[in-house]
Amino acid sequence: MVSQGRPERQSDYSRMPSHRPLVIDNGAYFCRVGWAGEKDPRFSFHNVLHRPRHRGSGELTSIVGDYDSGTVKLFDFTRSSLRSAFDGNVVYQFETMESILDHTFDRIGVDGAVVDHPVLLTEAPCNPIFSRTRMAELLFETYGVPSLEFGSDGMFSYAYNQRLGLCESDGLLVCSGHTTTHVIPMVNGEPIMEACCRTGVGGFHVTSYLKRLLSLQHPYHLNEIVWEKVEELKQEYCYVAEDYHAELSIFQKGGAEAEAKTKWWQLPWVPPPEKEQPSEEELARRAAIKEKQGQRLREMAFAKRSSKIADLETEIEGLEYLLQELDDAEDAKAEASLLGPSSFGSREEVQAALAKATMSLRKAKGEPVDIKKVEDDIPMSEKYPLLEVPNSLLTPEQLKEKKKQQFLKITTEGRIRAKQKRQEEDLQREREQQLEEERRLANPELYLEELRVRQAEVSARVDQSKRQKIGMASAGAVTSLTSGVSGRGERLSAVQKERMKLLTTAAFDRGKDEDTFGMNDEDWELYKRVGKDTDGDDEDDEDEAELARINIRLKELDPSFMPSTGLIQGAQTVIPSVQQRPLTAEDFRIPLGVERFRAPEIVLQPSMMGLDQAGLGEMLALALMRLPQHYRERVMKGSVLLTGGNSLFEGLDMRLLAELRMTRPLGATIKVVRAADPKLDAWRGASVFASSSSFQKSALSKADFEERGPDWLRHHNLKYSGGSLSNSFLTDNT
Amino acid sequence: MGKLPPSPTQARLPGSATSSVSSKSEKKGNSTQGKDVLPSSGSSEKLSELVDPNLVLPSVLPFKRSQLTDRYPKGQTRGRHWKHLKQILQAENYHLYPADEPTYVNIEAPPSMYPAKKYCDITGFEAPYTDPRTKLRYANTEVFKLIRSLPDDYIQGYLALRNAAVVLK
Repeated sequence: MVSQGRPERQSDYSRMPSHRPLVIDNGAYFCRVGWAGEKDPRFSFHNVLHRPRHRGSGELTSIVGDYDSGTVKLFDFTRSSLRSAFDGNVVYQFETMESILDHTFDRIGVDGAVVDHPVLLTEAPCNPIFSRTRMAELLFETYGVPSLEFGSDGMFSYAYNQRLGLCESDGLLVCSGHTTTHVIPMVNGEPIMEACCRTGVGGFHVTSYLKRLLSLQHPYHLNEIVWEKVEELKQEYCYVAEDYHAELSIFQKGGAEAEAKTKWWQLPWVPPPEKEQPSEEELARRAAIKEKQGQRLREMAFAKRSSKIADLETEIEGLEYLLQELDDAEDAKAEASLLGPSSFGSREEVQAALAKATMSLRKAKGEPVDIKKVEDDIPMSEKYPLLEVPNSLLTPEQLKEKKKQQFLKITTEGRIRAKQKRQEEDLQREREQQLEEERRLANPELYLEELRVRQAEVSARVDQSKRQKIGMASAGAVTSLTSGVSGRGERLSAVQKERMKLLTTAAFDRGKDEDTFGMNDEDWELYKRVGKDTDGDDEDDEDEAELARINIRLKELDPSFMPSTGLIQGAQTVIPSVQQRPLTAEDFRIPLGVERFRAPEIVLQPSMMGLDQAGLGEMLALALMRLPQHYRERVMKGSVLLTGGNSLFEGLDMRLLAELRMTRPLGATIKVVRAADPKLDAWRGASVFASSSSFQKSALSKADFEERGPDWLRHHNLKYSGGSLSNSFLTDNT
Repeated sequence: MGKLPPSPTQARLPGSATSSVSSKSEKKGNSTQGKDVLPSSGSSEKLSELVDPNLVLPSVLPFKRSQLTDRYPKGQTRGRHWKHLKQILQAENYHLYPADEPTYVNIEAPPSMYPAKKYCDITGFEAPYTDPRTKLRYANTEVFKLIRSLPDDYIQGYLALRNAAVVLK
């Protein structure tokens, strides 16, 4: 590349004669600028605009192209994303374009009141007239350019290579750029645009594909996998396989050849500090401390328990004494005076409290508690004497008492019923187990097989639900992976999504005339389905319990059976949680095997990135098909020229040769050549053309533009072949 | 851009008739000034108030007839009034063009005539199978085990790679 870093302002602007054109190769990725007739552009820069804020003053500023990392200290880039004037290969944001042209003319050193040099600007093949008109307007009206010419980069590159003798006047031009790839047949050095073919796949897509692929495969290193690094890896390691399937099978088989083809990207790795093993004494000391702490806890618990026992014993003593007193008391009055200071209302209550305290004491001492209650034996009518009496015969107090008894009766009955049910269930289970056992004895093999199938089913279900939970938990970390589709939807769990879907369908079904939701009873059924997510957990628990049961049973019958814990193991190798296992040096060596030729393959098979368009190989055949018959053979006698930055992949020429061989008749000669410099030849070709006399003839002057307007622009097509007539510019200053 | 070193050329009104000689001398003054600024801000680490004119685009350029800052005075937001490529193409009225005239739309490559080959989403190998649950394609049983253990967003990430992810709006 001509310039790494910021271009210097050129100082020789004033020495240039005013009829010498400026040549700007305005590509979607790089912009290259220089003077007509020179061999190399004066400078080039990334065709992007940054709008950072100056930290000192808080002013918004404009920076075109790259900046070095030191700039971040002075400017706040966090709130500015880089802007490109291009949508695909067409300029659509003319304000950004204006800033880029400002930069261009400023760096080339323009010092007059206008840019008083003709300009040759490259544009997309078949650029929409809107874009061309706006560009002409911008250059004529804002910059005061005297005359202007548009041409396409690929054709200039072809013309330049024709001059160098790499290709003939008839041939096929393959130009693969940042966002698009063109195949254009050339006859007599002129493009046959009727037969041109374009796909929306370019270098940008290859890098983006590789970046997303690597981020998915190496989630630990999301911070390392940045655009610039991936671009670098692509340029260094990626190649196009001559036979994609053969190349794949090499890697599928593995072995030495695949290993030799695998490149490694070593990330900086510092081994985590080794934890030193504690010494014997240290271990003993720790054990002693632990033992001591345990001892203390045990003592505390013991003290607590003994104090409780003592409390209970005094309480029981007191109660027993009270009972004795009550026994000794002769009449009710004496009893009442005895009970007076305590909170007990009657003798029965005292007895009940005593029984309770005894029970607690036994529990505290760790003796078996006799749960069987005496009350069970008391017949119903005695326990609840008021229930049988009609309400009319009772006083209000008795009525209250009756209600209480009623409640007590219902709860006791319920408890008894539940007990019975449990017993029944136990019985049922026993019966089932017996049945299973019988089946097992009848046909052990079949039974085992059935059990295994059931196990697999349930474990798959459990796995799935667990995975969903994990997926939800880690969703935040990887939303950036599925770029482009990130949004609110991503943050929802599967259940929430389902609910959202139900609600939206409900809303749309009824959105027509008026809101009739709720008129029919079945409308409300929706909420039952919507509310399902709460019992999803219960289902999971059931599944898990069943899985555990089956696993135990299988283990009993088949000692060799190992319950698969597939999810947990798998999770450790795949799920990107750094905490799950310590990272090893291996994790910091990123292998590039299949990826090396998988990413560039999208140019030849756009279906791999979900784009339903013909690949580059098919486009060659298509372009030939679109040509009139008499041109076809002429074009194929010439060579196929590969140009554009995305054609630099090693092996692309051999691959295209192989692809062409499939569609061409047997024995036909096919030549595939690379451009001398696929990146810069377009600018060089344009420079040669701009210095020729045909540029002056065909260029559009400001007066022409004002008089004839956009319609002229539509019918204006550059004659590229005129560029071979060179004039005086070529001799000076090269 | 108030922190830019004040330059005589910027003070001049755009398009005003000044002789080329004077403008060149002014320019010279400006460029030497720029060279003075460059090493001071480039070599030293201190955050100087001066901004390197080689880095930041000046807001007023003498060779322009209308400045961006005049059209968008400070504080006024730039309206979003550009058309995307799709809108541009729709407005081009290509249907009025003769059918055989090459346009941006009709030079586009048609869909492929060959059926799309199926590759394993994880390994890139040829994929004879598709997992009915995740819809991921896979090459062999090991990959299958792996995709069954992948969390949902990774599945969607792999699907998005070939533009087959489920997009819930």
